[in-house]
Amino acid sequence: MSGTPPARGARVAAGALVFGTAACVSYALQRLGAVADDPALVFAQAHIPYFGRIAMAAIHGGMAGVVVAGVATDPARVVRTAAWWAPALVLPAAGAMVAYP
Amino acid sequence: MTAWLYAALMPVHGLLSALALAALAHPVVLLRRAEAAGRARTVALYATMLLAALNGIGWGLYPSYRQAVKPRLRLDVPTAAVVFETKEHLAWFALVLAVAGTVTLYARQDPRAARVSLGLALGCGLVAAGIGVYVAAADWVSATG
Repeated sequence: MSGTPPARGARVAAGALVFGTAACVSYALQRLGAVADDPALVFAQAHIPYFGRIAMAAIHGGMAGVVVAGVATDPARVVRTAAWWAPALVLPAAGAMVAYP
Repeated sequence: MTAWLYAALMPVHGLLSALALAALAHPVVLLRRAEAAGRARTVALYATMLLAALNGIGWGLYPSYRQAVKPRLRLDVPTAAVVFETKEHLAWFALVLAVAGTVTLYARQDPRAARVSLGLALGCGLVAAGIGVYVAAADWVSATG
């Protein structure tokens, strides 16, 4: 990506940052949803739901990233402000995964 | 996965995690200065590749863990079996956040955003590694005790 024009680079970076954050939030929401359905069952599940969650989180993150990269009117601002919105979304998701394994 | 392959990959998984976290810490420290973004870029890429390999090995080990180790841990050290789930969640967080930070660096954008993303990945990775050490120790005690 060396030589990437600034505007395109901002779109790529904004999309990547949104992908990373959305993939974490999607994963946490899916897991919390499964725990809310049946806490005893979710702990005893086979491995397949875990891989399914990862795949869905990657798809959700990718979709959110593509949408933001494509339609954001000021992608550079999305990147500049990531220093506060990324932790604001990721830290509660990570905290929830620690609190509700 | 055969028992011997599981036993062989477990220490590789642990050692690789230490290496990946050390590599991930490097760009987080380097990016305190914006002019070091060039050097940080290459190291972040290697760290992310290590994390991807680490997650790949972990995903390979996971089915065997759930079949062979988890039932015993649930009986002997239930806390370890529970927190292992957290380790899997945070390892995934670390991977996607490292990818996001590295792509941001390669897109030559605000290095602070990349630093935050890589820093979050490092934090999640460190917690996951700590849990991994605890679970491995609990597994060893459970198997030998």
